Amino acid sequence: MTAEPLVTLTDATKTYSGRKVLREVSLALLPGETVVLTGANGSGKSTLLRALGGLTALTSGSRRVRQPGERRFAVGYAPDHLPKLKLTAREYLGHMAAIGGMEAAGRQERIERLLARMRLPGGIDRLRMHDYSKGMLQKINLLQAMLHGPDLLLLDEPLGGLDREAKQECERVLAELKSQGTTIVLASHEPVWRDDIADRRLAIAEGRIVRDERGGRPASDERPRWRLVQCELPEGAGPTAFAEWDGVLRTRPEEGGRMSYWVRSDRSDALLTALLAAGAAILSVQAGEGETDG
Amino acid sequence: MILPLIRYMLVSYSRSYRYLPPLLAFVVAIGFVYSNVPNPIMESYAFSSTLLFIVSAWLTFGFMDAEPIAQQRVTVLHARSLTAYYVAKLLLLSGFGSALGLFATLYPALLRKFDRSPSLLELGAALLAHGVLVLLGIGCAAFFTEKSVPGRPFALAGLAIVVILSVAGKGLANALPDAVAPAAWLLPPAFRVMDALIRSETVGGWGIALSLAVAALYAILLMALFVRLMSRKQF
Repeated sequence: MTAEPLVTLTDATKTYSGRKVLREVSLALLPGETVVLTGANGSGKSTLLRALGGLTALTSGSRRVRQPGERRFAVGYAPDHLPKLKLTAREYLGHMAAIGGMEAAGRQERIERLLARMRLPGGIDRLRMHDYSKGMLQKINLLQAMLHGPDLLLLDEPLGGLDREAKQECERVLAELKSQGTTIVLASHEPVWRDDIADRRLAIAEGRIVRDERGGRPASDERPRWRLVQCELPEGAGPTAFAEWDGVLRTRPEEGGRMSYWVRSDRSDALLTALLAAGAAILSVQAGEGETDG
Repeated sequence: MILPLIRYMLVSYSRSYRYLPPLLAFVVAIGFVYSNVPNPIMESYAFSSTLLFIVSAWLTFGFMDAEPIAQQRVTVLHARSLTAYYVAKLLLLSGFGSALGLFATLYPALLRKFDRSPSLLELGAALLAHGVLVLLGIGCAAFFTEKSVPGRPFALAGLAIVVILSVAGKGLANALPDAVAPAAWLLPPAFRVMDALIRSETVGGWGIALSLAVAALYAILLMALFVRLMSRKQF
């Protein structure tokens, strides 16, 4: 028997200033599933996350939520960048917990437990968030999203800006939440480094879901090998061209109409052939492994 | 949920120092006006309440977008209510503006800056006039946020036009041909409160009360419309 979806979007369309950012997206999130949503910058990932969280008034289409029993449906949301506020982490988390209705007695304990779990460096109370490093800020971002034990956790580029150790810590926390049955949607412009936590992978391009695969890949500690292909695209080809090509891990538009593609090594020949066939000029090909940052 | 929201907004806003320019402008202007004594009571209150209308619009303009949009989304999800979020913002601004109104009412009365001691009725009317014009200033400026008007310069220009029309509405109403004169009732009625206070001896207590009631109703309708629009618009 299939479980009733926790959140269902039906023909969800969102238009900003006449531009369709989401195009008739229909999607049902099952309770407890972990979804990795990939797509190039500007493909509609963040808008889809906000639509799932009920933060965006849809231009057309609908969002339906299955209420979890007596209590209200709780959504945790971590934006891609938490602003640098003039509050310490404890002050910030304390305010967010109080706003969410957490009792004063349990609030402190909950915050301390979460802070300990993320292994933040000592002395965080001496600094306000506007003095934090990107990694520390991202950890606070994840903590605020987890504060109320959400039914649905929406994370926009949660590993961005984190060093390898911090990424591993975040992945460990996500795996724990997954084991507790939290529904997680994780948007990323590249596949998460250790992607065995995903039950389902969605790819979005130009506001449409272009791939929806279920089933996790086997866990692997092997660092992915990739090739960085730099090319000049033919006239008229947009920055999303080939972004969803099989094996493409990440894309980045460069100056002068050039593009960089990070592609899995085993798919690089196919991408090169396709690029050449489309009239692109290949400028360079470099090999690498592990993360594609930089 | 509203109180924790107000506490959070108050702490964040107080550390942004965005309130300083309008606050200083108001305090300095009041100090300057009352540096010469004696002053006529209700005319002075008409000036300070109109000034407070402009200052509360200025405070609102700076406050509404003080919280970055990404954090607004996070705060709203914690609060689980856009309506509560905006009501908290309006309440905080109203409280801050009312404190300035209390200062503008009591400062000249307690430090004997008037030509005589104001009666309790005059003090009450002045306090209400300051409070109502605070609400009206907030109601007018709330619509000129980043979410409603794309581009800060356009928003600022729009707000400046509305504030000028609200203060100088009497002249505009007089200049309008008879056929379209009722259109002046659409203007935010700050000028009606100012006029009633200046002509307090002619219009009497009921005249002042009526102008205050009209302005209060106008302000409350503006705020209710703002909260409704923002709740529907979301992000």
